[in-house]
Amino acid sequence: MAKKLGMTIDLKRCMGCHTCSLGCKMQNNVPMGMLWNRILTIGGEDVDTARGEFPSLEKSWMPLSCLHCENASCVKVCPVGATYRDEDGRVLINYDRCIGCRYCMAACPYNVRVFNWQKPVREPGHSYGEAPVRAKGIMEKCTLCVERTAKGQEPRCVEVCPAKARKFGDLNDPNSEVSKAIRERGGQQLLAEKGTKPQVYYLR
Amino acid sequence: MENRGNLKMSLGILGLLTLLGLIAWVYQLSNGLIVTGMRNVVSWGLYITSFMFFVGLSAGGLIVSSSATVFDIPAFKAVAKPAVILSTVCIILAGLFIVVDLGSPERILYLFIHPQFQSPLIWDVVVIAIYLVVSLLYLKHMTQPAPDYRKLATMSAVALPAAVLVHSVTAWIFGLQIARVSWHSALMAPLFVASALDSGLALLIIVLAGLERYSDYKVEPKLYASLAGLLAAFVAVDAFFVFSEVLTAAYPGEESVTAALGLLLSGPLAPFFWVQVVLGLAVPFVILASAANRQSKSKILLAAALVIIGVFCKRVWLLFSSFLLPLVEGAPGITLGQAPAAGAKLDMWAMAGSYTPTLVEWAIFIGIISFGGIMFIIAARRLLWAREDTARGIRIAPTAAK
Amino acid sequence: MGLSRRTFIKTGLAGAALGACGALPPVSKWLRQSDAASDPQEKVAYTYHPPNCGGRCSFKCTVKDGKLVKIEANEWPDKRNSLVCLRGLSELERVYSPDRIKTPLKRVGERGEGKFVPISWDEALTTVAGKLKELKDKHGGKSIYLKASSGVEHPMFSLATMLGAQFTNHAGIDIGLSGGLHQITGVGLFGPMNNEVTDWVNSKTIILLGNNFLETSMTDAQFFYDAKEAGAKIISIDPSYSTTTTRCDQWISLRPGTDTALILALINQVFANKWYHEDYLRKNSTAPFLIREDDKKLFKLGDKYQVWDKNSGSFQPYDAPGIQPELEGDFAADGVKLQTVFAALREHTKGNTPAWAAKITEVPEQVIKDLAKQYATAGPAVLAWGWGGPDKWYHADSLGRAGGILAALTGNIGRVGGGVGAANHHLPGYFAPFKGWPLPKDKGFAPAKPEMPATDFPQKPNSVRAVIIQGNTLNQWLANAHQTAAWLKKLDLVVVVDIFHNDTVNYADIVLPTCTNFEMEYDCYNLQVRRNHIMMMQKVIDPLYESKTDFKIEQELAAKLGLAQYLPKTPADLNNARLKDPAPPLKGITVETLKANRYIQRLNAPWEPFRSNMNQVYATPTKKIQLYSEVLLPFGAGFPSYEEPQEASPHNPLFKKYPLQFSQAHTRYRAHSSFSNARWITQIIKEPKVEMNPKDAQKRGLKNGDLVEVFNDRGKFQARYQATPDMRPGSIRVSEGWWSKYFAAGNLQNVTNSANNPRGYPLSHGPVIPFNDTLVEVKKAGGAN
Ligand code: SF4
Ligand code: SF4
Ligand code: SF4
Repeated sequence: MAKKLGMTIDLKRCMGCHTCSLGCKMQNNVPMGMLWNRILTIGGEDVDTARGEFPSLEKSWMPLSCLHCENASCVKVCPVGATYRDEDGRVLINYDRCIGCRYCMAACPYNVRVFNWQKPVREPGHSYGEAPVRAKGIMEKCTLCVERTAKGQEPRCVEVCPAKARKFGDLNDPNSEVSKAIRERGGQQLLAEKGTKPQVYYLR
Repeated sequence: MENRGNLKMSLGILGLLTLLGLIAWVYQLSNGLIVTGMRNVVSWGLYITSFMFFVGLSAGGLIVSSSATVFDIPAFKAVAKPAVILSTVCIILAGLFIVVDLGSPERILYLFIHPQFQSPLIWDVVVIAIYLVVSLLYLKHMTQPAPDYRKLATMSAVALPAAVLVHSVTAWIFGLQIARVSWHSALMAPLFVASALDSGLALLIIVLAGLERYSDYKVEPKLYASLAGLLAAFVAVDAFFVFSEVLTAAYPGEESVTAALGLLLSGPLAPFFWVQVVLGLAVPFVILASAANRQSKSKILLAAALVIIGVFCKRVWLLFSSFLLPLVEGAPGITLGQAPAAGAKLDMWAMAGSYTPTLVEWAIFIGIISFGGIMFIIAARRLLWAREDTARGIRIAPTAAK
Repeated sequence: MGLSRRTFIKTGLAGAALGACGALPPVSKWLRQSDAASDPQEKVAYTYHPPNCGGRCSFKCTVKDGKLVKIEANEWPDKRNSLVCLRGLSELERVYSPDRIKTPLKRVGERGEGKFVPISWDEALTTVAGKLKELKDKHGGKSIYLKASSGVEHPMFSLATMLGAQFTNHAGIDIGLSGGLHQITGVGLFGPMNNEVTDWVNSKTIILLGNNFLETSMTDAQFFYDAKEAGAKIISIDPSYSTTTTRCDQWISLRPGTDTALILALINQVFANKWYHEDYLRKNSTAPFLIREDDKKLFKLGDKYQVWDKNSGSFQPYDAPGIQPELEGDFAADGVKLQTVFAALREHTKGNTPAWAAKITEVPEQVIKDLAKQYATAGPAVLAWGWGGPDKWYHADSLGRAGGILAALTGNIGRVGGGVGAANHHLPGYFAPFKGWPLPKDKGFAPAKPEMPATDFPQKPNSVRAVIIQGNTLNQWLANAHQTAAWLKKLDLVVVVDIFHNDTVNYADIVLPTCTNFEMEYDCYNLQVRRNHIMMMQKVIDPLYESKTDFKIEQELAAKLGLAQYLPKTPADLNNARLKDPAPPLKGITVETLKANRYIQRLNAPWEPFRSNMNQVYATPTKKIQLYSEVLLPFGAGFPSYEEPQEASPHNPLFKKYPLQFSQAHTRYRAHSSFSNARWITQIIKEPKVEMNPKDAQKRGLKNGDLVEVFNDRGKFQARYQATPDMRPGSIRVSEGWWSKYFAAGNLQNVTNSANNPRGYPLSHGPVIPFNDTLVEVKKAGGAN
């Protein structure tokens, strides 16, 4: 059976450390001013602040990157087929095809796509990681670390998470770690009502 | 003679503005869309607003001219030619706004080499292409010394649904997006068609008046009144759809929809919303509803101008109401996609969208419209006044054919 | 346009069509670069990460075309440690930071002004050496003081020794609680927990006392969650709602600085409910020792402490075999009444009832009672404190002692699943000391005896005339920055060896650019032992700009002083010497074996979690847990008591003027002042924020994001106010380590308390700097007072 790669993120374990975010940045040569994977504080107005009134407070973190939707609205709208779903269920962008119309960006309910509004600026002054360079005027986003996962490695964010909050695997395999976690913990899809069927599940 | 001088001067000014726009575009090409006010949160701006707007404007002309033939309304036939020219120019401008909006315009032909027919944008490419071809053919046949009226009629029969389709498809670009609460509505297509009808007709009225003022082209005064009556009806329809849409959105009180609605009624988009509702719908309707006012060309022109402004505002609120409030909330928000200047503190996040067009965008906007002006003037000169005699002939011809 | 054939085909018609307009972006940019991983020009090197988060994560670095392009976790023999955190990853940018010092610099403005001109290495070293020689000749070696920041891999200890200079590597920081705990258990520097964090799965209760573990020991997070999933109840005692608190089972917020009262109340409850482990205390502690009523000293016969032996009905030396010491009873000798330490302690804490503590700590009485019960009766329990909170208070030693006593009474020291101390910094674990570099014996090389704790240098007259600083020490380490600046301005010579242009550099006469630990002139560099492993640094890239390693700088400075011949030629020589004739955990490990094993090897140590004191032998004079301190008797502190904070107390008259307690907490975003300038991290947190409860802010008319001034009599600084409901009203916080350039004005150290508690001097590592024992007021910047 074809694979359907997916991920679980345990929000009980995630401690908002941003390591996965920077790991992703390094792995994927992500330029300054954008991130493929960002950590949202579910709390107050600023990063790491709670909501509520002392001492009745609430704070947690939610990492957010492309959720690799099975019914991806970004794939549907791309006029030139630059955004596509590969045979293992990754939603990818063909950087040589993208015309920069940003329709996919408007179509994604999660605001996870990022666009090269300018010539990418990299600090340090050179490219890093394993992903190819993207040009100005091109869309990009999480690829489920295709350069790694195609070789059977885990995505970088899964590998580096110090809290071991992330798991990666085949959702079509009922015995995979992710399938089990989703079953046992009642994995939830983000904005499930949109029908995009994300392959990244949150465990709450 | 005076006309000729005016013409040269207008063409000169328009040419200069077009050139400025072109320079701005070159600047945008070499620096990227970072020179616009768009960023990752609000990722479409003035260009797409204008695209919607001009698709709509192009409708009026074609609908008037083709319904003249299809429904056989002789009064409209009189203005069929300028109407089609106007439609053609507007649809070209709409296309240009897409080109300048692209991040990688050098790949624009991919739209034809690698079309992906699932995408409403490709539907739009297809219908706009058809629309453009139809308009051009229509124009060609209309301006033949001896037009073939059967062909013209067939073409009209294609042009009318094409016009409706263009607006519907453009609407579906937005309306089919479940990600964007204020777009995702079945009413989006009727709403677009309604806007197209009133703004397109309003523009036609203004252009006809302009032609009269600056050339030898003559329009029967009665025609203004009947066009104005039609405009009043279109405005009423538009108002009805807007009301229905807002009511449907507001009534259930769903959280994200209510938030988007808040933007319109009292938030940052309120000026655009209320300008449209009051100045763009209510006032023109009141003006045009009175038969006495419909006899006054200046009042009709005022109403028409208001309608156009109103529809532009409507495009603005329609587009941005969906961009400003991300569905997934949480600090620090969304990365803007803008690298900091050297030495500056990194500020790359936004919790909510904001957008102001930059000078570059305005320059390109004005440039494109000026280019449209040039196209219209040249086309009008060649097809309308240059052959006044034949033109008059055409005007009589349909009646003869009966 | 320079289109190659290939690019032309790739970009195709579109490019050709639009090429005519001449406004295309460079076509080469549309092309994919080959993957870093598949390039033949690339190499892999292994190193570890030295910043003072304590982690010392081992890295696998990929270098391409001489540039660092990838940082990954090296594979550790114990794979659970194969981790890297955001700071480690941010090195990819930080190494190439524009803040790097590129050449040696000479000061041209005033000290502190930060005006410099570049000079050559030769001029820099000649100047420094000349001055040092002059000072040593005129004023002796003790006029020179060397200090290295905690993340510095090669402190110039040999140079200091040869100069006869004063040299302290650690003083005043992270030793407040451990100074107290050391009195009880003899624990070493920084007071690491007895049990390694991997042992927490065996605990039933884990109390995190002012310990934001998930931020400060991020790479140990998995063990926290493992323990939680294994059923441990994890309780956070923290005035404010920390990251760690959010993941705990219970949160107890107390008034800052009153932790000792809370722990004393727990001790009180242990006595009241007889939850203490009698047998354990009898055998392993000084509980049966006898306190004389007259001078409060412990009763001795000859030089032996005595206990009352139940078996023989007589006084016996405490370590006599076969005795059964009494924990209670009325005893006397030579007409002096004697009381057991156990009984005296119970008496001492009699008044420390939960009700009493509730008033002081503002924790409800019942919560204290429940906490005592949970800790004392639920099974093995951990009391794990941090260094960023309760450690940085004037009376921290009392808390360290109270904690030690509580753990001892409940038998939680030397117990599976137990332990007391600092859990952070990845410090608890099997350890193996290295040998030092053997300087020739016959030259009489010896460092000067430290005149006073180094934290006193800016405060008391002393002989220091020159300082050589490796790192951003003077800003980061010393409180009360204006006091520090005044001291620095008086000195004859200030030399700063650093990578980046940070605050300390501004005070230097001569600045020497060192390199990051990815760069070196040698094929390998330093050694470290952490988390039961030994690691070595491999060269990753060449030193950038004109920078040199600290090793090389020490060597070249020594050469100018005619002393280079006594130093190792290369770091490998030093490492070989360190591993020669090694301690058992290091047996068989050499520079060569490390190279053959990706520069990391496990110590020869058992695989089960490290637990110290399992044999119930302690590094104290009596080899037992010493519940009573004779050392602190002169201060009337044989047992710890609760004292109001020295400054940050509502009973302090200053409180009227400055009613807010100010603390500087550690965060995950920096390791002290390292990474303040890491732009990958400042993407997320771009500037210091004054974190304050909105209620406190409202009283001061502040809106979220307002620029505010924090001030007291010592000084002031400005930053933006951040609405932080997490903060306990009455307390504000700015996370530590920000360089001044990130503040709108000043630096947080301008307001911090530098007072030294006299009771700290006789303690193992001297008095602690009471950074958090600070009162301030906040107002809108620019506004009227
Ligand atoms: S999360 Fe967004 S970008 Fe990713 S697959 Fe889904 S719709 Fe597309
Ligand atoms: S690395 Fe893990 S704990 Fe840290 S933010 Fe990412 S998911 Fe959360
Ligand atoms: S900062 Fe500490 S935890 Fe992070 S990678 Fe470096 S050594 Fe490891």
